[in-house]
Amino acid sequence: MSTPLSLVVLVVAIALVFDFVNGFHDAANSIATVVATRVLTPVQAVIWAAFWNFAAFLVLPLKVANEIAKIIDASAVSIGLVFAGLAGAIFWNVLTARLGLPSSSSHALIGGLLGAGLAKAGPDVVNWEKIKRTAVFIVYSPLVGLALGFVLVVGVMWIVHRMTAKRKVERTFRGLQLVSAAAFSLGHGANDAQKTMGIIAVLLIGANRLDPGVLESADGLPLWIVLSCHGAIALGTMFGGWKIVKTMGNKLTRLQPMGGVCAESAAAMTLFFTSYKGIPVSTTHTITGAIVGVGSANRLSAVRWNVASQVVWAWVLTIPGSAAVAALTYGVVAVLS
Amino acid sequence: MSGLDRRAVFFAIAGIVCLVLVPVTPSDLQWVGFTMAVTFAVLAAASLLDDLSRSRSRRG
Repeated sequence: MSTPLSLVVLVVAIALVFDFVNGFHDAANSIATVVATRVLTPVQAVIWAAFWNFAAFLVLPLKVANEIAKIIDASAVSIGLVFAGLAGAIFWNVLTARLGLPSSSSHALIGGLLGAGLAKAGPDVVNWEKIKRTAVFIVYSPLVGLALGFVLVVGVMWIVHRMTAKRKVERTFRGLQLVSAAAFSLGHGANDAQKTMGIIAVLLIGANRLDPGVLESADGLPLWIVLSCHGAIALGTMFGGWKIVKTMGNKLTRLQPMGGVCAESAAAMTLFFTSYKGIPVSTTHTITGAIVGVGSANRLSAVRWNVASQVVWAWVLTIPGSAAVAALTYGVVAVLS
Repeated sequence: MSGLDRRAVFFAIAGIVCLVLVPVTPSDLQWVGFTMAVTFAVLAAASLLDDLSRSRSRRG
């Protein structure tokens, strides 16, 4: 039996709102350096980042979406399960934001699906191999970003310190910031938008409105899902950027173009790799790792360790926390329906 | 302990974390853990050597 279309549309809309909020929160990662160093005006920067967020579907395969959609066995998926998973992720994000605790939207989404799946049908319907893949990359992705950031900045410093035309060097890196910000936005758009695509795909499969066979190919998802998810994250980036513009002047005055280019490039390379392999990762954790890597090339005390330790807490807390909230939500949904 | 010594220790710990994760990593991606462990070991050694050479040049 098919689920009523109105319910399907409602849950798809909630998923797209989640995607929009994801872009809104992560806009700072994409445009902070280009605005702080005045390479682009704030308006130009948000348009630049949003454009590359949207364009990501033309460049990278949809493997992350397929990975997310296969976390729970298709036979167990229902609209109530997907709603509970989304509600768990959203509630956990709001709760942690209010309490000032660290979180990751990506991991919250995976935890939400996991918790709702466990509550509905127990551990047998969970694809533990996919969960394991995601869980180890919660740790790997910031460390890969860190190592790449460190190696890149040391290499660049080694080349640059021999050059005498300092003004030319600065001009070069200001230009390169456009490329690195675009690359990071592309990686962000690919990895994060695809998580919502996976959720929408699994919802439509559960509602008997999409053939599960579409998950067998890397570009099998309907175009409207792909475009709406990239559109939502790009819009979120644009609106998030406006908010950042107000605080930018006070908080980010001492950013150096060279460090920014290296951090964004390192994070972009990590996101390209994980997206290509179909591994969902937190883009915020990845850029944080890359910034720590760039900062530690100068001296270890230059690193803001409180931010780094927050990432470690987010590793530990987010998936179990959002899974617990989603499981409770599913319990309520099951009683009410 | 100087700053660069601490950096070497930090990289060494990061390398050990990657190595510890290798057995629980899916087999098709275990090379990532190995590569990262080796990279961090090299970075730790390089940081240590850098620190030693700076200490010597300061004394000299």
